[in-house]
Amino acid sequence: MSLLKLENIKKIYQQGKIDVQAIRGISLEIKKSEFTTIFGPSGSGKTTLLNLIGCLDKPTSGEIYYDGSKKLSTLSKNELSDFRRYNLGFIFQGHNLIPVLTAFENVEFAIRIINEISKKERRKKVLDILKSVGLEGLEERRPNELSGGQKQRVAIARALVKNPKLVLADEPTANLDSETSEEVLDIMLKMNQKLGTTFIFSTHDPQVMRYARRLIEIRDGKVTQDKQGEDLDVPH
Amino acid sequence: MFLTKMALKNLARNKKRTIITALVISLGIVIFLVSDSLIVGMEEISIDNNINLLTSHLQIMDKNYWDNKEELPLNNLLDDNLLVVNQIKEELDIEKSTKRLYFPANINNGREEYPISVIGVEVNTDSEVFKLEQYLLEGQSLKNGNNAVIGKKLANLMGFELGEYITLLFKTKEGTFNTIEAELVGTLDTSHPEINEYHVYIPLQDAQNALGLDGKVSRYFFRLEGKEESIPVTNEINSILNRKSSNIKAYNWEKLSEDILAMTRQGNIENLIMLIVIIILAAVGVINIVILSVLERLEEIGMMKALGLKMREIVYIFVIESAGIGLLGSAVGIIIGFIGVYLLTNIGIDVGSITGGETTFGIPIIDRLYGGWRPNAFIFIFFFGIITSVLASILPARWGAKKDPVKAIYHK
Repeated sequence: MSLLKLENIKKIYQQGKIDVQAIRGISLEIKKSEFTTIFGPSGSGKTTLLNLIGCLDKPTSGEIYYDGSKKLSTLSKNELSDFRRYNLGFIFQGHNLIPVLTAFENVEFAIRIINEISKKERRKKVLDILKSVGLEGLEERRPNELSGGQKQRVAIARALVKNPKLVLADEPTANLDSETSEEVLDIMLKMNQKLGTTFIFSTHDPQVMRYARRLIEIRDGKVTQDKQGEDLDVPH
Repeated sequence: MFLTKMALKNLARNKKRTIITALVISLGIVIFLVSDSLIVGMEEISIDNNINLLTSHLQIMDKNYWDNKEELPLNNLLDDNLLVVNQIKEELDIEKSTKRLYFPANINNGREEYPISVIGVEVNTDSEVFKLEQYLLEGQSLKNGNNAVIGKKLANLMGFELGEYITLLFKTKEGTFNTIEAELVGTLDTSHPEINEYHVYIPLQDAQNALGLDGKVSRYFFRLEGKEESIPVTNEINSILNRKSSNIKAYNWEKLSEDILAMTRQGNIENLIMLIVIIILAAVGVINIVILSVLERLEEIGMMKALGLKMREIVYIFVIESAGIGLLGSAVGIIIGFIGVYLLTNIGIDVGSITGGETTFGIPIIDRLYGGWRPNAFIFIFFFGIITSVLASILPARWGAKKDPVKAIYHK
């Protein structure tokens, strides 16, 4: 079943007097529980596409449908905030943790702003997710007391703790060594399989692409390949 | 609650900056409180001095005399045994009253003259109403007979010594010149510069005789239990006087101290300027800190937007941080201000040694100046510091919260 449907999405940026076409008419469908990798060289439009899917940016033209019928272009700023709050999880390259909060509090932040569950349940949920990303015992550490991989795990836990339908990860392993990258990707894949969460992540790292269950290649703002299952031909 | 907790934790991110901004607010608050205390102290001391040495709690005089009282006229005077005064004292249970006769004159030492005000006082009752005796520097108080008491400064100016005779030259009501020769029996060193330099006290009867105004006085003076009684008592006296269709009217110390109260108002304007300075200090500090915080935390702001935080929630975080700085600054300012005001009220400032007793900035205080307490000023400035911080933070916080999340996350 389709979770996301992109119809002829275009994004044009203005750099001075020049129009830069970052996305040139992309149409694709993402099904629920897919583990999708968007790859392509730097400047190909991967991050722009993720930002458009994550409602952090608006397309110049085209339409994004969520969960079959919801037209994202019709939502106001506040409605888009609510949409992100309840439905999306983000993992960024730079993990973007809040330095004054502990690992526990950084993860808790994502569900505190939803405020739908009791304190006890919330605590259990945060501890469970931190345990499942391998951070048991490090809950009270602040970001500056964690390694790069541990920080990224906190960011993954933060993205997943509210059980979002879709997690968007922009180059989640870009700042990590290969061993830590594999650990992080293992966790993401495990969560995808365990919770059924849909993952879309961008990368240009061939090592990361090996984890892909669906691989979408973008060049110059256009989809040049879209393969899954047996068709997957991971570039090296 | 979580956002509040996070905002307060943010205060510890850059401790130096938080402390410096809070201290700027504290400084403004301390300046305000000390200045306010001085104004209150000056007002209290000035009014008390004025009541004890010049105006008493209330006076009665002819309405026409009131209009020209600064010129010390010799017409529109009152009889010195007015029946209505006794009636007022009986009806309102006022025990202490006296009467005086004022007139302008020149004091002469045989070489030069100096314009002064002569006050004929009822020797037996004057000290019940006025506290001049407390300020007797040399010699003795005024007694019946041909004697005078003058201020220390006037004595020095004219070169008079105790036991010498002073000469007063003046015009009678009819316009003829007359003189009084009186033995200087005492000099005064009061906290009121006008008395020290311009007043000559002689017995009432001597004044009446020399002016040809037997049985006449300029005003009656009354001392009450406290100055706060003066308004109701003045109203009651005026209703008694109105019943008698009299041309006499009672005036309380507030009415008689309008010049001092005007100076107090001026002091309040100066405090208002101080408030504006505090607003600017606090606002500049807070705006600066919020802008710096926004620029430092752009990626976090982007992340919070990605997590679904609304603009108002991000603004809230920065506003609470600023409120925290305001609270810290106000609390420290109140504590230091409290100590400052405590010292001012208990130790005071030796105005005399600063000014050399030559000038009092138009205020009748020449010895120590003490501060006064105004608890409302503490409450007001405490909340004022916080509110100013909060208000100053809103615009820069909105600026930060409006940032495009993509640009914020990727720091473009």
